[in-house]
Amino acid sequence: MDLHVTALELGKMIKEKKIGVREALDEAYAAIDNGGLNAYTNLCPEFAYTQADAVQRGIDKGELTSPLAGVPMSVKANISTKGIETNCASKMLSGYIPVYDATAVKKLKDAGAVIIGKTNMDEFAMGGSTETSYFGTAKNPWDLKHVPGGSSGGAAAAVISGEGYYALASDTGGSIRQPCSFCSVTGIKPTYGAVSRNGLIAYASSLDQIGPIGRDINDCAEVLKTISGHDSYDATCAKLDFDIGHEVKNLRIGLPRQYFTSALEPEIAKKIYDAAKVFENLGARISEFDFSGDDMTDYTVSAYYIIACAEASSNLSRYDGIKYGYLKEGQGLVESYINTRSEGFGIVVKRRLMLGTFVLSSGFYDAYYKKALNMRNLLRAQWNRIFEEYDVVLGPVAPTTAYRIGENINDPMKMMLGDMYTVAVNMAYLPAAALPCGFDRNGLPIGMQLIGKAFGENTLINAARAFQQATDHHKKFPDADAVKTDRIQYDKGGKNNAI
Amino acid sequence: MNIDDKLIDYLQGLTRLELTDDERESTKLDLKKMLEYVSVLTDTSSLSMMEYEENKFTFISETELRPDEIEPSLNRTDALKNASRRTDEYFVTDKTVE
Repeated sequence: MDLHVTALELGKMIKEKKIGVREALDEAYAAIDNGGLNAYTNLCPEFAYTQADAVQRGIDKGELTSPLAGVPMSVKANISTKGIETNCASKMLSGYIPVYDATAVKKLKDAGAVIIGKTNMDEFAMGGSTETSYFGTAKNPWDLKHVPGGSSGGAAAAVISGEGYYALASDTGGSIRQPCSFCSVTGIKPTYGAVSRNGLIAYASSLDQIGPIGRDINDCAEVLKTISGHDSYDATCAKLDFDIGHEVKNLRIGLPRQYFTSALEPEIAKKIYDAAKVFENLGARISEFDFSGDDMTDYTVSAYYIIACAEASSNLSRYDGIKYGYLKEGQGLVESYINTRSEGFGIVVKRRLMLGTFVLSSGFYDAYYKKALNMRNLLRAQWNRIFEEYDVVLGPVAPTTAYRIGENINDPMKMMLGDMYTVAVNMAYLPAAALPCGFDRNGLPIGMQLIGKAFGENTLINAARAFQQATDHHKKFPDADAVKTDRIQYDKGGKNNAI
Repeated sequence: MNIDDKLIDYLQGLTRLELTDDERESTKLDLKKMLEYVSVLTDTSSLSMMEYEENKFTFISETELRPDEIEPSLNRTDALKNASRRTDEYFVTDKTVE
């Protein structure tokens, strides 16, 4: 079977009985077995084959009509899946088995999704490379010595390599978009409130959002259509009709000048300008603009880290070893808490919890946290003004292509600044799509980002679709033979033994 | 800002964490770098070129709370499933009251 099909193409093949659901699943597991990417923290073959048989029966009876029915897919390790270990790539939640499905997972299962496993990520989504995963770093299929990005690095690596045909992931400050850029796949970070967060294990609740990663924008659009909508289990979930599929004419596209400075690799800048040319040739109107304030990126990244860490310090206080998760007993309750948290969390998580606690603590709250909230309001107002003049903003996803494993892990500033083009979207509650736009001189993928106004996903999707119809960057795949090394051993239950 | 052992001890207490000696040293360095970077926000004069408005929480869209009615919830067996220490009825914790 040709592995280089999209999820919708595979769904069509299944409907037309050119391939069975079990057979499609066999192919995905074979790709995982041969891949050596460490893209998964755990697999669930028993669950998957049972689900595959049920979905096949549903399709045969005409009860399952979704174009995604029967397509093998993955779920990031921080999104709850009933009966399937959901460990957040952390020792703290290793062995944790949710007793309910996240709303987005339930919607996909109702549509006939076949979950093959949970994808590797940075511990509690804190990182941009998967190097903080308790289960070891996932690898970039384009060059195994490089990171796949993060935090959803496993998801992006899996999708481009046929280890599942689309993925459900999450984005707090770029965690869907940056790995898409590093691995040459397409992803959408939806507007805050467009997709229910029920069942998403919280990192920073006002920034987190679940979204799709796929091989092209049509796959992502179909997944987004399936998972979006109001959910009574998430009070921040918007009650509105989510419409995808309108024509967009005379698109006004803006390029922020401050995104194209010396901080951005020139090869990436060139590919983004090339992409702007493609849009121009398609009839869009392109112009450049300035943010108000030259230091806007520094303000935005600073405010993002303050808010994200503050919310994390609150959200992760629930890990006490009592109701679920890792437990290391001590002499008395407080010592048990300390032992459990000190052994259960990795060092990056600990540092972010300490930073978050610091900015919320007495004497520093006004100086840091309150200023960051003010900054967030300013940022939102600024983006609202930008969208009075433009339909879509085009820019880079990351300042570099995928870096080597170990290159940046000990430099938190480099890791923070790696998010400089993505965090504003989360801070301003906006939607954005990341899509492939070329390769650098080393053959590593380059991605671009389209940012839309709140609940403007239809415009983003149509712009992305027009670009992908005019280009073929998204149709390129890494050489599968080149990555058949260093096999990751999963045990019979699907547990990753790479620790 | 100086990140000294006293501050680290204070934060360890608040976060219920205990760092190893190596972790403590690297955390001191990293927190210092991170706080230096984010301190750009603490200089209000640097924000003066922008319209500075007091924080007000405005949500992005209208939301709706579900009716205040009792609905089926997690049953006790499921709720206890992932606990390391439990009986058939309760989570088990260390004694908190002498």
